[in-house]
Amino acid sequence: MEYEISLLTVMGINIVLALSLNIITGFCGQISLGHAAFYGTGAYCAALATTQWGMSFWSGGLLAMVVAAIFGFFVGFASLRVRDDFLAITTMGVGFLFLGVVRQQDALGGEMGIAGVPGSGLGEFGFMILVLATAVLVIAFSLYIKRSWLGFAFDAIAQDQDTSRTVGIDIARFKLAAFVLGTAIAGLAGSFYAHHVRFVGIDSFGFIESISILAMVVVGGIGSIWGVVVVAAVLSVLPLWLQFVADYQLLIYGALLFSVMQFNQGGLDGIVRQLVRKWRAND
Amino acid sequence: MELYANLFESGVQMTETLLTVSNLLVTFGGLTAVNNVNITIQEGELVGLIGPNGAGKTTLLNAVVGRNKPSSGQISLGGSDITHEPSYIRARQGLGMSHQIVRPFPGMTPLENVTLAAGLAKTKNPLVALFTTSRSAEEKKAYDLLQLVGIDEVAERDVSELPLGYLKRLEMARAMALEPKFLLLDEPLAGLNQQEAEKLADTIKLINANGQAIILIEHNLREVARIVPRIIVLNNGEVLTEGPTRQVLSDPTVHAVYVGERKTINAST
Repeated sequence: MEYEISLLTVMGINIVLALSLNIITGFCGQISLGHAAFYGTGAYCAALATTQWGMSFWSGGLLAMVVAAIFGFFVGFASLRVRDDFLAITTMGVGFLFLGVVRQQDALGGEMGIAGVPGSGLGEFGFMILVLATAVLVIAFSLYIKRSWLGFAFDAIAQDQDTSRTVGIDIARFKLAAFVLGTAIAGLAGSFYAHHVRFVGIDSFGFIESISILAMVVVGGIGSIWGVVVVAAVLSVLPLWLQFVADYQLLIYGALLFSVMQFNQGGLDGIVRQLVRKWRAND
Repeated sequence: MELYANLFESGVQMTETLLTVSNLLVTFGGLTAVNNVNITIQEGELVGLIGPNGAGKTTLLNAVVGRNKPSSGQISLGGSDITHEPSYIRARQGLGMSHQIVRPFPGMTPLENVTLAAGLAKTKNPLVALFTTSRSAEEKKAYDLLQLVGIDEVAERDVSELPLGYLKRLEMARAMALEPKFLLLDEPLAGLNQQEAEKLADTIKLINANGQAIILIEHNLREVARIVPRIIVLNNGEVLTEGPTRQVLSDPTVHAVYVGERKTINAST
């Protein structure tokens, strides 16, 4: 039972994390190859807050969100000056910068990381419920954004920035809003991670993690909430269920990303839509 | 005609100056596209902007809406200087432009394209946008505008399926959804057959009759001559002449410019 609880907790954390990037990359069209830096910021904040500053699990989680969002706000400025491929490289640089800085800070445990992060105090089962409930809330929030005028404007910016300006949209402010919302939620996922694993170390927040999060969004279907949730859930449990997937995780993620980009850029969501269309046409 | 009554306030004063462009210079590298241009548009006016290809017409309007940065000169809208305002602020302050090269949001239906523009108050900032979900009023307005330009039957279609003539009218409806003080139309009739062009030209005339100030770039001089009372002619980035339509179109220098372009003017039609 403990194993299943842990599995579902990891799944919930990854759903929250993938949906956080989906707001930035999926809804607003701003590519990020450094999302693990915000996830890591949240994890380190929560670890420091609870191990060294005497803060509770709850206030540590809140701090993780706020600090990740502030970091996201500044990185968001980069998206105002550069576009597309340049933004991808810039955010990748932010990811490496995060690793470089953390590695050199003794206060952050350097290469050794921070051990002894306390649990949530809710018990393993209670924590799983909290994480899954948060995942459901983030799904609901994502659905709400899509329905709101914020989602409408994000969609416009993702499709054509120049035309968005001609209909009066202040794209700078909206992009910053996407970064702040997305990185705050990534920070929350990071705090959950820290309290689940009870340890934070830089290896968990590197480039590979950033690509893994991006793979969940791209394979699920960029901007598709249900597609991202399904793929985040499946990709979270597969390595735990199948040893083969765990051994070749990078290879599998790479192959998935490659296949989606080459054969169906809509990802899982796009494939299902095509199938439904065909099915309706044959009906 | 009651459809239009809902969309526009009538009885606008026609004597106030709406737009002033002073000594405008736009250069691209070594090329001067717009050279020391001065124009004034009154509220409620319908003005034609004509000239051969490469005369600087589109560049001039792009500078007015903030797509091009002028090297020098000044642009004022309703008395306030907007020369250095970003394009989204100009859109909010009342400049709506329908572009020659159409750029609909490709992943949205025509209705969504126009609805987004109609929701100017709701996209004011991210916070307002986050806490607003209702679209029904904007959709109603968008649908009416699509009806006005004659493409309501494709309101829910995929924009990638639409021919150019439809997309031109979609651009116009989207610009009008901003409820602009000043509507800039860049070749809205291009890509339409003569019957459609006549119909849309009538619509433009009607919109103007409801008090909407409009500047119209158009190569279809037959329609320009039919609906526009005043014309500005650009050539080589400079104002060649301006004045009442009949007088301008019968001007030998204007003829010379167009004959150079192998075009004929049927000013009398």
